[in-house]
Amino acid sequence: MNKPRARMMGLWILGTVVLVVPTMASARQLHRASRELELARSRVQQTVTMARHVMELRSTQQTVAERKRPEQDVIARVNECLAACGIPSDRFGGLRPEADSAVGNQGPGTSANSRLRRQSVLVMLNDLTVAEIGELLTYWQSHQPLWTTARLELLHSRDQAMSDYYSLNLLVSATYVSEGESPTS
Amino acid sequence: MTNVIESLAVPGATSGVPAARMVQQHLRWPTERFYWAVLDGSSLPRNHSGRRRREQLGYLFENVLPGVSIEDIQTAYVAMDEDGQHVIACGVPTTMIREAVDGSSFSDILTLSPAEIPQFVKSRERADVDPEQFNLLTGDLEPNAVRQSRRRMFGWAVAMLVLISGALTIGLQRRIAQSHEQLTAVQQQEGEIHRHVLGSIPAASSQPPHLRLLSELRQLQQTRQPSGGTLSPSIDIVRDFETLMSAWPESGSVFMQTESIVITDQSIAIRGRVPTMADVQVLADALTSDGWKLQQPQSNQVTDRSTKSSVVELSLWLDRASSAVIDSPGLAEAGGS
Repeated sequence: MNKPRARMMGLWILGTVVLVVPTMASARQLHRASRELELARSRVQQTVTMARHVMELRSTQQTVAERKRPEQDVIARVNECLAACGIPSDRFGGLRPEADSAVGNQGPGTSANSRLRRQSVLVMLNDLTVAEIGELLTYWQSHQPLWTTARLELLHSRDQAMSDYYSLNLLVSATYVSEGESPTS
Repeated sequence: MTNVIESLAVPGATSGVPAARMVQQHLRWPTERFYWAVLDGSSLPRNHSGRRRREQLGYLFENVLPGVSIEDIQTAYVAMDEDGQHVIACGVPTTMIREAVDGSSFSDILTLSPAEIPQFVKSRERADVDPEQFNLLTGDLEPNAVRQSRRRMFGWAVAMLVLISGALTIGLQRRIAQSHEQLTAVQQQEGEIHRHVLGSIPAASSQPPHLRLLSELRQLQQTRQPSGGTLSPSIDIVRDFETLMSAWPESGSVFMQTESIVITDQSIAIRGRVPTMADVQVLADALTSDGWKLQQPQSNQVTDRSTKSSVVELSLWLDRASSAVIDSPGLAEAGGS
């Protein structure tokens, strides 16, 4: 191959590179940007769906606690309930944890339930009238949906001067997601 | 002369003044001024084309030239048939062309070709070749006007290519910028959704927002959706208490001193004292309702130590019937003693 021909060939190659490379690079960038945009749109769509679902779920009543409730939390709830019903807080006679057990499986496909546990607590209240007991139970039921009443026991006061008063032993239970089993896992 | 079918060497152009005539810018010389041959190109490799094939045809042509080197001859080749097996070779000494073209009267010449095809070529089958195809002003002898015109066209072509390439690149870059703008908008939209649902995201949070949203969703799915009767007992004990109090007989009809009432998801147990045995039955009748099955009341007549009077100690036991449905007024109004 003679020199002018080689030079011409070199110029052709150079020209092609100069003309084609930027165009090709731009086309590749555009392809990448389009793909990125498409992915982002798909992710936003997914996010919108999840957000809508979250909002819907938030508007429903909570039936399971995120974690086990400590005794202090239950005491605070009982005191709040007493205050709301106008019952002196000294009527609260104490609290005793009763049970903490796994919620039984109902068969295959209930893996979510296998991470759930139910804690039960006995709440002891003294010197309440039947009306106060009724009001207390109604308030508790409407304001503490997590804590359902499993058993109630009314014991008549032994004191003759307080013949209309009862002690109330209330066994309440709540289902919670077991700690150590992350909800995201 | 293996590859040459027929040849006719015409050494007629040795005299000084060429017998040429100019038709505008296209020069036509008499046939006798050219070397002619019909070459057999069937033995040449078929994959060779262009310059390479021309060289090989030149070697074939040289074999029939009478003591003239092919380097000194300006040649033109035209295939007689489609497969290129038979090729008409036409040549004229380069010096002759130079002498003719360099003259001032030929400064505008663009092509040089024979006026006619020789008779021996014409006589061959399918030899309907136009003499104008044998343009000899090519290669080094190409006229400046043609060369400049070709260069100009080449320049235009390059300029057009540059323009097209530039326009393409600019267009693509604009679309890339547009895509980036849209991407930013989409990301902002996603961020706003995250802020709306999750609230302000702490800067120290290492978890990406979409994972936090997913985590929130899963937690809510676990804690907000009822999954059968295992999570929340369907038995409403508070309502049972409410029913019991509603059904309790008025103090005017029965005076009962209650010792204890125990309500579970299975039963209701009542213990207390009534004045007479008849009151036991009244109480049992009052507390019997749909959804509950009254067991046989247990009663025992005893003497009250404080009043020294006779009273009846009783125990009532109500079992929950299956599929019990209890409907009763509000608990707050319920009363009894």
